[in-house]
Amino acid sequence: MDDSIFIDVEPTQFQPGQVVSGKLLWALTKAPKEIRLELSWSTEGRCTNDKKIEAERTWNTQETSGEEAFEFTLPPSPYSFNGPLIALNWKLSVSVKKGQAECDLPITVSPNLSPVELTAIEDEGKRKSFSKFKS
Amino acid sequence: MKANENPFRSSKVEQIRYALNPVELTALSDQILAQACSCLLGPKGTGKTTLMEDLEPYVRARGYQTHWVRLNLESTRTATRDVIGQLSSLGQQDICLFDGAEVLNWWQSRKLRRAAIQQGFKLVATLHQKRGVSVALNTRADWNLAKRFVEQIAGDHYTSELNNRAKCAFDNNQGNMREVFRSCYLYLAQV
Repeated sequence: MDDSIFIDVEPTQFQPGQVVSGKLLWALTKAPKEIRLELSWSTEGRCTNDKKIEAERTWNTQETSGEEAFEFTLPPSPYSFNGPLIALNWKLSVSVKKGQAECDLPITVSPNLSPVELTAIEDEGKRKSFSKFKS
Repeated sequence: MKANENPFRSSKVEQIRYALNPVELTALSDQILAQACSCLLGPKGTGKTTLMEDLEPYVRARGYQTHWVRLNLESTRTATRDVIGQLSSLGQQDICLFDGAEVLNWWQSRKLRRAAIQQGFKLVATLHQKRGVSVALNTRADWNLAKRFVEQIAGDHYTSELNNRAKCAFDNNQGNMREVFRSCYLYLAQV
């Protein structure tokens, strides 16, 4: 039997500040030491990724199978967004200590429940100087 | 094309590993563990850090505890000094994987090498220029390899124009693979 672990959350689109609640279900071949669930966001783009874990919860369990309920309150920002140069993605991820099983569930955090779509500037004109000493 | 669909996005590029097979990696880790100090030598963006990451499980498998040090041109003097100070606790079963050792000055490099010899830990550093340590491997810029990676990552998005952009970035940046991938990313972002 293969290890399986699953995050049950429905729906996966949220508004900032909303509560994310769901269930964690697992069936493992070996007893785990700890199961950890993280709520995090990361950027995606042409440079190094920026990441932050906003909330986490751990269960110290040796049960090879089971389920646990969880609840996280989302922060007011950042929003999920997607642009040509950079995107910001939210996810719930679960991992098992003393085991290989892991599972990611992408979620969306945005006022209108879909990632903010950033568009490229077609014609970028000359920028205005910020210096008060220059005209 | 949006960032989440761009095949050259950072999370995809990070999956590219150095082109050495397990037998070669085993031989290289043997070579590194046989001496107190050694280095992976090569220009920017030729895979030194990636290779060091690939080597980590091989040296761990020999019972060595790995200690990463990552410095770059933006690292402050205090950070550099602190990092060197932390290595004073390392002993015979430790190996220091020093990424970005070229930012150290002559005195700091010497102090570090002496610490490795006196305390008995292994030191392997990434360097752009040889600094009196034996070279375990020389990484080189290779257009054919860069082209193969670009084709592989781009998949269906591979075009002759993308290839031209990649070649141009390769030539303008002395074979820096990171710059090649960035240039491909920007090209596809505009498509």
